[in-house]
Amino acid sequence: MFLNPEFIENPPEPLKVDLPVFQGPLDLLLYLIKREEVDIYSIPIERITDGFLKHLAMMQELNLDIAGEYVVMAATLLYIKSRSLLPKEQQILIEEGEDEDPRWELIRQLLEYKKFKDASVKLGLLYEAQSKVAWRGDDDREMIPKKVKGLGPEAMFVLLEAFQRILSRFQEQEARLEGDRFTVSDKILWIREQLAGGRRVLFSALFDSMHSREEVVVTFLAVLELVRLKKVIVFQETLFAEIELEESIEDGESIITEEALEKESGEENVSVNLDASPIK
Amino acid sequence: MKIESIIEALLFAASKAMSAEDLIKALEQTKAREKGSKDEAIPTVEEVSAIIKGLQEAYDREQRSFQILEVNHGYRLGTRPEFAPWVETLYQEKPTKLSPAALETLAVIAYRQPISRPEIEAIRGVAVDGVIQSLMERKLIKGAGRSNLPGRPQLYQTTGDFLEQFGLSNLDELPDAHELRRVGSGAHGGDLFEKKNESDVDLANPPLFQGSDEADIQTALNIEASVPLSGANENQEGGSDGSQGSFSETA
Repeated sequence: MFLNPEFIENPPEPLKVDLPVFQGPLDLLLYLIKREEVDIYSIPIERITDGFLKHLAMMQELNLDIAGEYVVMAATLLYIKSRSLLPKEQQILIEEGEDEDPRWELIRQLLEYKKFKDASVKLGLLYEAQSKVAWRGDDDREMIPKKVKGLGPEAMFVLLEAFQRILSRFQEQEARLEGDRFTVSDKILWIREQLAGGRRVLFSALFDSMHSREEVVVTFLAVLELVRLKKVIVFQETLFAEIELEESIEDGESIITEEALEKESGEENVSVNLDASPIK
Repeated sequence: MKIESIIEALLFAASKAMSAEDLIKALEQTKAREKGSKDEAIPTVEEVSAIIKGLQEAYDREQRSFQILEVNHGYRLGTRPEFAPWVETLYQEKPTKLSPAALETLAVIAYRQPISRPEIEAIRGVAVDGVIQSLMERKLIKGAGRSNLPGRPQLYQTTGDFLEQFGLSNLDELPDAHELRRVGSGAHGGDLFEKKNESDVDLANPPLFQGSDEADIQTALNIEASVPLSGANENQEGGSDGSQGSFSETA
């Protein structure tokens, strides 16, 4: 790779294009009319057509998808423009009685569109104001699940309870091969494998393939160790839901312990965040 | 039991806007079941409206964190907007924004309902199928039968959810409703929407803007200068829900 060192030190400014987003050709026309500071009823068709075509070219250059409606509008504008260039007596009358300015239809359309565009802005403000109100009995909005994170007293209790349940499955199974050796470090590697790529594993499912109490206990110790090392998050989607394991996204710092949360919220003075914080 | 408290309890327990009729019905049903125990008179729609006004005034006085809002042809309890920063932390998703395209399309539908897709596209000048789809998914609009126009295109209208999410009691509360609402033009044939349409379209009132394009533009031209067009304000729904009280707290 040959890179000019100067280029690396002083990369060129990224290309800045100040192009407003238009909601269609009518929107673009309104913008042009406003920019030209002309009256909507006396559109200078030449100037507006030029502006419109320039914008189309710009959009093309930026590889923006130009919807067919823009092309149709460009054709309409060009037609009106060409018609206006003809001497009055040579202008074709399309329909009887239609001897008016051909801009008429366009103006009508623009005015109609503008009414709704203005109304939509007002509606947007209403919507924004109303979105600050939480309705009583609103079943459509989902509450943030309470994740039991870190190893606070509550989480520890929940986890131990789950472990007891699993251990009880192995009560009667005494048949066990001597020499089966399980180590915590092996199990740590194995658990991390199970959780690789952001997979979630049910705490109970972790022990499905196991046959002995010893293996279960060693695996549980491995889970505790991983949580202590902040490599794994233990959580519940909702109260009384199955406990799940998930890889900690940022090693080391990702688990928010209760103490850390308390400290944090103390600083920010936002105690509501305590349980609901979606921080991972 | 004070009637104020009963109505408050009903509003508190409801998970949708309760109209004055809904509240009266609940009172009547209880009275029928518990014969003789209480001989309280069932309030009229106007009295319910006054009672709710009284409740709201009490909330204001006591600076409660909630209020009674007039939405969707009824009353519903909601938090006051100033508590949004705290309340929002409880919810999975922040209230989603609506794109300008969605708002424009929604505006056209709201003022001109029931309306077909080609008609919306004629006004906005762009294709709207994608936007319509997402507005349907968000339950802001719904189908309103089919037009009698050639091809019998699907018609659309706004929903009760729309009224609630925009803090509107009815469609006459839309901004500039008197100017923009097309009143019962009958373009699609009246049989399609007259009953199911939540009295959104007032067929009884003569259309305000009909006739040539020219007249339309003249009207548009005069809007800024002119006084509100006569008849525009009589366009209210016939007080069917009695919710014309004036204490709406909509921010």
